[in-house]
Amino acid sequence: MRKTAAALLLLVLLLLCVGCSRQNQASVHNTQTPRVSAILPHHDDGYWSFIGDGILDAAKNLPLDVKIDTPNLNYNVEQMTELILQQVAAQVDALIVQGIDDPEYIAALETARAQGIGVVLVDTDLSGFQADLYVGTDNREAGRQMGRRLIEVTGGRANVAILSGDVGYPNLEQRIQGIREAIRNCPEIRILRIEYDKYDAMTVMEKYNDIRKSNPEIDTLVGVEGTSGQTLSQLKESGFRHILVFDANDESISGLKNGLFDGIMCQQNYHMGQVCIQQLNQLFTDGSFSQEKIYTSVDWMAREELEVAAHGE
Amino acid sequence: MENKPAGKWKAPFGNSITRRYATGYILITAIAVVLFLVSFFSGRMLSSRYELAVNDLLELNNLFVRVEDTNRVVFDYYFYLRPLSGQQYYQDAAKTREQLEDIQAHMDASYSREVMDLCCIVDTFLQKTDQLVANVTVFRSEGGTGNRTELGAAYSETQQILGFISQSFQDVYISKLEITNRMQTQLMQIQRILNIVQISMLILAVAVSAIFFQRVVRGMSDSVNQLIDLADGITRNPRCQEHIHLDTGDELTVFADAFNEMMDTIHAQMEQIEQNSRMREQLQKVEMENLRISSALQSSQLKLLQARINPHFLFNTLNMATQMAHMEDAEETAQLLEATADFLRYNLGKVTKSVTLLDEIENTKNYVYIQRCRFGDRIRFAFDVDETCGRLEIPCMILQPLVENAVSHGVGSMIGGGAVTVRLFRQGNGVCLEVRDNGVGMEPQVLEKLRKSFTQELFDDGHIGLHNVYQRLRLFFGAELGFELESRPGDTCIRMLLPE
Repeated sequence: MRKTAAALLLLVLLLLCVGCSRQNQASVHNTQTPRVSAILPHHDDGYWSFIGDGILDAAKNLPLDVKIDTPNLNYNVEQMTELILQQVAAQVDALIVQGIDDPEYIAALETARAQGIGVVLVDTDLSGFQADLYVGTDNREAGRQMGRRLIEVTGGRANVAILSGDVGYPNLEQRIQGIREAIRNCPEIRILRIEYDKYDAMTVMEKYNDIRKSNPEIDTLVGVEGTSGQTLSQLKESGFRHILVFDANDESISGLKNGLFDGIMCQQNYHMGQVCIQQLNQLFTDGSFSQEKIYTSVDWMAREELEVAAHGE
Repeated sequence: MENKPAGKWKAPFGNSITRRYATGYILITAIAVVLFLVSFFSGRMLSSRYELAVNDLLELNNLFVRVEDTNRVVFDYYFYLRPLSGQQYYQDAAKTREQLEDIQAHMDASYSREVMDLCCIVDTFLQKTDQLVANVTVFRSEGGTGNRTELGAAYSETQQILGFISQSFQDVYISKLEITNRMQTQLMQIQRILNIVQISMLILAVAVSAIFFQRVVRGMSDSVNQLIDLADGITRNPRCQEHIHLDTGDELTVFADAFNEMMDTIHAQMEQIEQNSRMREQLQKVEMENLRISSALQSSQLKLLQARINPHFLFNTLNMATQMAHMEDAEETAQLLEATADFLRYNLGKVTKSVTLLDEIENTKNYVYIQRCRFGDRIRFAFDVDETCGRLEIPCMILQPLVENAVSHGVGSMIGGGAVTVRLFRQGNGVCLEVRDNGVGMEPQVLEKLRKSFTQELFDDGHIGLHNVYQRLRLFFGAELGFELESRPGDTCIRMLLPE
């Protein structure tokens, strides 16, 4: 009978403890915890969402209160500027943003820096703004690598159209610049058109068809940002001899498997997010970053490698 | 025969009735208390958590209202330069700050990023409006000669921040709603768990009550019923040797053991009584057989005597002697011979038959006549007889041996003055036959021994006649016979009360 009574008492205590623990399930942070806001261009279940995941995952075990904001409209610089100013008004301790070459945007970042808010640029660096830290691809070098892969897959002979994101994004301009530098010594590789898809799938398809129709001599398409690869993976068959894209995600890898693409230039976007948070934690702990610019690597994922890997499995 | 052990209800309720009942009641009470506590505290916990969530929202709403009030005053002061609004601003801003500090005071206890951001934005707003109001005051005091463009930009900035506040409040509201929603889901889960616990406790209480009833109440009731049944059975059949075995380990077991022991004692005593009774019966039978044998022996001895003396020859001889005495005119002798012949005829002819008291008295008178001839006037014999009692039948040869005893043991040794009196009279519902003599009497020890000899086989040869008379009368009349023997020097009396 004593055992029964003890078990009964234990059950009640357990329930009360569960109740209390649930009641006191408060945040691990407090008013002294540094607040970090990441304002990312969009949440697309792709490139930027991987960066966002890297940021949030890295922050889980660190004394940082991190949140991610995105504009209602994808890549809307005005809304992103507004979000930066809102975070400035909220007196956050650090901002993680993409570098966008827009005066209002840069002015908002300047306001943040003037209030002592740390500014970390991720993915895209800005030449006109002195950020505290840049974490991301060395876009010019990545462009050069893409150029070398272009020469490799086309045998040094191709009429090329480049599909970029939007005007005013230095990272994309740097990649295009890098491609140009790489093919400088290949006169038979000519860049005939550069189009901007506005990071929009419908625009990607529109530009794709327009290029095929207006410039039938173009046989190679190079996408220098992720939306183009993500969208073109849905094609039943390629309208170009060669398609090379940036950024790996489920769709672009599927396109590679289906033979639509020759290869994908993969950035370490998840790692970028992690590094941003690790560096900010170091800033709040030790007072400084490791260095002003931290470049993450890029890797070429070719169709052949995928097939070898599949056979290996 | 043994009863089956009743009620294995030792565990888990203890080893005594009091303890079992106490344990049962305590257990049920404890479950009821736990049930009440669970219900009470769960209800309180749920309501407090709802209250907390609602209070948070109310506080934030109050902050937002204060900010809007403050902004309204700023608008009025900026656009209309009313001094009153300028003064009002500081009061409103102070209230807003106070509300803000209230929220920030318990921010650490329930930290939320959205609320923290909102508070900081409100703080920024207040900083900006402080600055704006101060600048507007300067502008107004300088008569409007200051830089209006800068004031306009500053006002725009405050309105932009107000927009952030509004946006942030929406975010907080959405966040709080999400949290509240999650909390509600959790609370519903907790509520479900608590409901399950409550139902379980209720079922447990019912189960404990049922077990308590089954094991303790019914167990005890069964045991008591068994005891009652056994007692009833023993009342109806005292020879019942059934035992009850209770294995309850409590007072009832002790009671049952005592009951069994008592039953064993009663049975042993009953058996002892029965055995004694059987032995007494056998003794009586043996005694009767002895009497029968003794009587048969006497009868056979008499018959043998009769056979030896050839009574016909004896009677003819005595008759002839009587007639010769008459012829010789010896009347005394003739009468003696006649009395002797009658006495012998009576003794030899009727000894095994029952006779009337008058026959016995008549025969005794013959004997007295013979003795009177022998002793002369030394012994005086008297008969006081109620003739109405004389028809009562008795065994033969009862009175004569007693008179003979009175003569031989009482007055026989007296030189003169000896007297033997025979009385027959009615007493109560019977007839009393009394033989009294004034002889030497008996010593007290002899008298006591003689009295004992009536019920036991203790007698010596000197009193065989008396013992024989008593036994024959007892056989003839049974327990209703009265027989008294009294003796002291000069007065010995044997009194027989014969039932009619």
